[in-house]
Order: sequence, then structure tokens, then C-alpha cells
Amino acid sequence: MKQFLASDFFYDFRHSPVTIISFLIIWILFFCAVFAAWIAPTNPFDPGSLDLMNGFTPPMTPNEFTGQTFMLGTDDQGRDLFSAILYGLRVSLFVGFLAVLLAMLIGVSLGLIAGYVGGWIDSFIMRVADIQVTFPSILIAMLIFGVTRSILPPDQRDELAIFVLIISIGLSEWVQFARTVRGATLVEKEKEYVAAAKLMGLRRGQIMRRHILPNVLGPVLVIATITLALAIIAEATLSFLGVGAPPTEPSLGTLINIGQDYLFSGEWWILLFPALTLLALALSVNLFGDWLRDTLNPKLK
Amino acid sequence: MRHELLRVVDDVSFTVGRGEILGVVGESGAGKSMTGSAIIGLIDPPGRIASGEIVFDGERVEQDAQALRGKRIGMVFQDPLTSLNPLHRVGDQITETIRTHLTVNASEAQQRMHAALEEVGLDPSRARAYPHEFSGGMRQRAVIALALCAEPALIIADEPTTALDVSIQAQVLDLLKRVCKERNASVILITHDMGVISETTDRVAVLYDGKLVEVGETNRILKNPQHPYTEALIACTPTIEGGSFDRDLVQIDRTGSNADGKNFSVRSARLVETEAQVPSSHSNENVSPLLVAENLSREFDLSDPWLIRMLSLSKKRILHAVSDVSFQIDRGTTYALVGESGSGKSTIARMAVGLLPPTSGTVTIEAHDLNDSNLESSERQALRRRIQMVFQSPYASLNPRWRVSAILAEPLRAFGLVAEGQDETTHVKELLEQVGLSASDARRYPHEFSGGQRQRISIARALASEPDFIICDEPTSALDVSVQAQVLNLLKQLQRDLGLTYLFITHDLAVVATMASRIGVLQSGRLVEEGLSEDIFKNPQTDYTRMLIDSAPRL
Repeated sequence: MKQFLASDFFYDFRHSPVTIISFLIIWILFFCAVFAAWIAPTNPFDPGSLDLMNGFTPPMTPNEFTGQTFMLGTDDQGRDLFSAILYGLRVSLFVGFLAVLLAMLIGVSLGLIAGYVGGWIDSFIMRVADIQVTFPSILIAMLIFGVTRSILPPDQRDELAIFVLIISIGLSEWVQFARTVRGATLVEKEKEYVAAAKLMGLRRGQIMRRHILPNVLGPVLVIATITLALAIIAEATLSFLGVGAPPTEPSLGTLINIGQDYLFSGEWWILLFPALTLLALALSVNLFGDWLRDTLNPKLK
Repeated sequence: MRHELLRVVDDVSFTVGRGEILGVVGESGAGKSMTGSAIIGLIDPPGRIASGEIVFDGERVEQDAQALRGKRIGMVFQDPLTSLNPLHRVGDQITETIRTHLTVNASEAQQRMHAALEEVGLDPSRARAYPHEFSGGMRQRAVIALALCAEPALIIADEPTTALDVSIQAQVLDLLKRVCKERNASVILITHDMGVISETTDRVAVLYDGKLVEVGETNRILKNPQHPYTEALIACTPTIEGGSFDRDLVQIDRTGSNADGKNFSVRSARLVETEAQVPSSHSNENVSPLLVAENLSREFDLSDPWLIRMLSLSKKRILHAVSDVSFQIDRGTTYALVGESGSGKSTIARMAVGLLPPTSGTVTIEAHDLNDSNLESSERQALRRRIQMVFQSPYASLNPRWRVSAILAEPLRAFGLVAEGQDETTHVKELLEQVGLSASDARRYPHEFSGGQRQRISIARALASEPDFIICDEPTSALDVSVQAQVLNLLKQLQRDLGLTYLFITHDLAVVATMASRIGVLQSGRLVEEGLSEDIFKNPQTDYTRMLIDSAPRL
């Protein structure tokens, strides 16, 4: 710990106010998402607690029928927006993290194999990656989402929607990981410590896992952070388009989708607050990722 | 660390006269390059000249020395590849420099450029070539032409020949000397190599840890050094004449230093000369050979893929990295393969350890062939255990994410020398002590060690499997001379204690003279000469070997 506090890494962190602020915002939002059940005044996922009479209550003003006041107002169903945002944040972060984890798992393994083994396996994996990046990743995610949903039995579609979302976003974002790891592996495998491992008669899998993997993970961390922002936005986009999280368990994107229906009839708050939350989250993660990339890359110093 | 103040160069004063070559010599971290950069005002922030001044031709040089740089002071750096712009023709770069600094018209600049190229021994008709079309030596000549073209009064050459082969190094140094005399220009030659200093310079300044320890006439300092550090530096530089494989090198004993070496007082440098017991095996005729290489060849296919070759009607391009090389190494002796870059030394090393299969021919250890595809995996592993390797780079040869204990434990486990579940710490401790490190070093990471210590760890890893044959691929070429002496002595010590056999691969003839009893000289993949070390040095049979020996810089 003492060593960490004295490191260049921490020094850079302390001297970048933007990074400190974005780091704080990430933590606050993360905390809110994890403890949503305790912080939120109502449970927006419970249809029984909703009162249609509370619909379209503006922020900080008492409802004309029930007299209840909501900090950030309510949506068309009479759902408390503050609670809905907290729960939505939870869905967005959950999907984002797991999708990145999946993308990382696929990308790192394929990149490592492509880089180390080489030959036609390398060509095959990288050409698949090349083809995939010619499509916008959101299209790929929609395609996978659509196909997976049509395979599932109708009664499980809403239950499994979140996991289908994770798989589709995860599969659409692995290319960046694979390319980076392959490049780093090509550099590392020529180093003499790998030759020394070969002299010990270690198998390819052992060399890849024990020697090369730990040495290519640095850039992966940076890409993971930046991809997290992308994944959160991808989830919001899919939900906004109505193919993501179901309206009964809305994510931030679903809330924005509901909000845009009422934007021009004067109910601006339904759109504004979820959108601001999404903006704060995506921007903070992105800024933090940028800083991480600059700090860990000795070439940019 | 960035929030600390580091005094890199401390209170260094010297003068350079007109037409004089001043050598600045020192080991890595001594502040040689920083001194050179200070003269031309090239110190990057946050570095700065804290005190002192530089007077050039009667005028004080300011930090922003733009006007002097290039015009009055020319520079030659270590890496000729990075000091030439790869996107511009060599001639154009010289012409541009001439027009920036001298008021001449285009055609005159052109003429001067041709003259500059001619002066450094390059054909002016190649002025339209790009830097990548030149070889390393030609590039360094072009850089010198670039430094000379504005007719500077002073040239600062920072390790100008370190990246070059000895034969080309000799030519470049001759060129620098000649130019200096003809133009009455001064040269500051920064180098780590005492041989280069002795061959080239009139006077020499010796730096140690940012301080000037001695300055004076080169001949006087080499013959009669006043300071113990200078004395030690000269003494531990291996020489062709003074070296013998049955004697240890002189090494600097740094007993007075603490662990990080920062408080090392120069006064405590003390010379230790160990008279070693002579391994008598080299004269003994009935020793069986341990390693036999027979008609070893390796080709690399550099041609384009099949389809492109068909379409462009180009022929196959095959590089013969090693052709028809045969030699054998007796048990308990050291055999050296010498050659310049591209001679195939490292390819032979990789074939001998089984990292690269030969195209034809065999390399065998007591009649066992690692590249034999019929070998059972357990037999192969048993054979691997006996052949280990020490690599060139102390930075790339150890996995940076692993602790030393894990690095040393890995071969123990891989070769089944420690049973599964059993503790290997005592083994690791023994290995560390064997190479002169302490048992507590096991918990540290490679980056916490100096280059020499890392090379010791690398040796310990090679020793872990209790091999009888070790290939040393340029093990000391990245190290300072004083550290080189320690590592070479350690290798000799281990050979005596454990009866090891070495294949020593190097470009440095002085190192060969101190290590090997037999030598093979390689020239573009062919073994041109082979024989006992003293015979080859005293009476070389081929012109190539003679040229190598003659161009090696000596004290």
C-alpha cells in the first residue's frame, strides 16, 4: 500500500483533477447501483406498488390527485423516476460489466492463440475479426439478440433478456481485445524468457498461460475500461430501440425510450434525468479509461 | 522517481583544444551522454544545468543553443537509423543542413554535399538513396557527413560505433580521426570502450557516477592511471594479448559499496587477481567430445507467398544462414564461435538447443539428437535437461512478472527435480548462492536487479536443471566492462566446479581470448577457420580472421 501511494501511477492520479472527479462519479454511481434496494424509496420493478394516478408528476411538485411528491418526478406509469434510475443503473452496469468480461475472455484467448500459434489459425481468427469490424457493432449485437431470442421459448424471453443482451454485446466487442493481445503476443513470444521456457520443454498452453498472458494484460485493462463505456452505451441503445431490457425491468436506455415519447408534450424530466445519469456514467468511465491509457503507455509520457 | 532531485553530472570540468580528440569514458549511468547533451543545450526538461557554464570559442553557451547546434557543433549519435530521417534522401538531408547553416545557393550546396559524401568515403552518386538502402556502416558515414557539412569547429560523437561490427568500427574511427586532423576540428568522443579510447583519442576524461575522476593525455592515463577507478577500469578490460582461458580476469571488488551502489566510494576499488587452477583437459587427447555438429545447415525462405510469386514471376529467395558447419566440443572445455552480425552464430546456438531444427546435418550430444522426431517425449525432456542456455539480453531473458524464486523453481519442476508438492526453497537458495546472490533475493522481481545481477539469475536458471552443456549467447555484450569481468569469472568458476562445457557465442575477440580454448570463426554462415585459441590469435590462416583481429580496438 505504501509502495502504491509513492508510485508514479498514484502521482499521476493525484495531479489530474478530471480523473479524480470521474473516478468519484464512477464510485458513487456504482455504490448507488449496488445498494439501490436500500437507497430507493420505492421498488420500481414491483407492478403492485405503482399507482397510475401518480403518472406524469413533475419533479419536486405534489401530485394533483394523490398529493405525493417525487424528487425527480414520475413516468407515465406513476413510477418514481429516482428509484427507476437507481434500478436502471444497476441493470446497465450489470450488463456492461458482464459483457466486457465475456468480450475480454473471448478476445484475449483468441488473440493469444492467434499471436502465439500463428499460421493458418492466426489468419482464420484475424480474418473473422476483420469481417466483424466491417459491421457496426450495434448491428451485430442486434443480429445476435434477434437470433438468440427467436431460439428461446416465448415464456422465457423476458426473463433471459438480460443475459441475451450480455451475450450479444460481449460477442460484438471482442475484436479490439483480440487485436491488441495478438500484437502484444507477437512481441513477447520473441523475447528470450519464452525461449528459456521452451528449453524447459513446457507445452504451448503452459507458455501461453503462465509466461505470455501476464505480460500482455496491461493494455487489456485499458481496453476493458474503454469498452465498458461502449458496452453501457450499446446496452442503452438496444434498450432505447426496444430490443433490450424489457419495460417491466427498465434499464437507463428503456427509461430514455419511454421519456422520448413524452418529450414534446412537456414531460421533459422522464427523458432528462436518465439521460444525464447515462451521460455522467459513460463520460466518467471514458475519461478514466483515457487517463489509464495515457498513464500506462510509456510512449505517451 | 519524479519528485526527487537527482544530480546526474556533478562538478565536471574539462577543456577541448582545437584539432584535438577528447574521449569521455565511463560505465552506464556515469553521466557521459548527459555531459555531451549539456554542451549542445539538448537537455530535456525537467532536467537542467543547475550550475556551471560551457564556454565555446570564447563565448558562453546558453541553454538554448539553437544557433550553435549543427553549424558550429556537429553531432553523431549511436544509432544511425534514428539520426537520419527515413523518408528523405540522404543527399537532400545533407543539402538541407548546408543551406540552413551556410549562405550558399542551391548548386553550391549540391557541390558541397557531394564533397562531404566523398570525404566520408561514400560514392556521391548514391546521394539519391534513402537511409534504408545503406548498410549500418554507410549510414554512420552519412551521419558523419551530415555533422561535417556545415564545417563545425566541434563534433560530439556519442557512442558512434557501439552498434557496428568491429571491422566497420575501425573504419568509422579512422574516418573521425582523419577528418579531425584535416579540418583542425575538435571531437568529443563519448564511449564506454577503453579500446576505442586508446585507438582514437588524444586526451581522455574518465567519469564515474557523475563525477570526473581523471583527465589527461590518453597514453599517460592508460600507462599510468592516477585514480584507482581508472586503474581498475583499464585492468578489467579484456584484451586479446593478455587473455587466456585458464586464468581469471581482473575484477573490480566493490566491497565498500552498499546494496544500491550509490554510496560506493571510488577509493575502495581494489584489484583482485585470482590465479586459477588450469583445467588440463584441453591438452588431453583422449577426452570424448560432448557435442558434435556435423554438416549443419539452415536455410530461411524469404520469398513471397506462392501465389504472389506466380503472379510476379519472381524466383524463390533462400537465405543460407548457416551452411555446412561442422565442429565438436570436448567435455569440460569452452568452444567459441566468433563472427560479425549476420554470420549465423545465433542460428547455430538455436539449433544446438533445439529451438530451431536444422535444414540438414545434425547436432548431437553424446550421439543423442534433440531434433530427432523418433525421440520419446521423456527422452527428449531428459536431453533438454542437459542442455541449457544463457541469453544475451539481461532485460528480456527473465519474465518481468515473476519473482526470482518462481523463475528458478520453474526448471526444477519442469524437469522433475523437485517432487510435486515438495518445497523448492532450499534448492532456489543454493542456486542463488552458487551465482553469488543472496537467498533473500528470491523474493524480489527482476527489475529490482542490475544488468549483471540479472545475468547471474539467468545463469542460475540455466544451472537449475544440473546441465552439463551450456550455450552462452553474447552473455556479456550488454554489460559494463567491470560487470562483464565478474560474470565471465563466474562462468569460469562454475566450469571448474561443475565440469561444465560451454559453447560461447560472441563478436568480441577479447572476450573470446579470455574464455575459450578452441575457436571457430564464422563468415556469412560458413566456418572459415577453426582451431586452438592461441594458434588462431598468433597465426591466423585466413584474411578474414586476420582482419577481425587487426580491427579489434586494443589498449
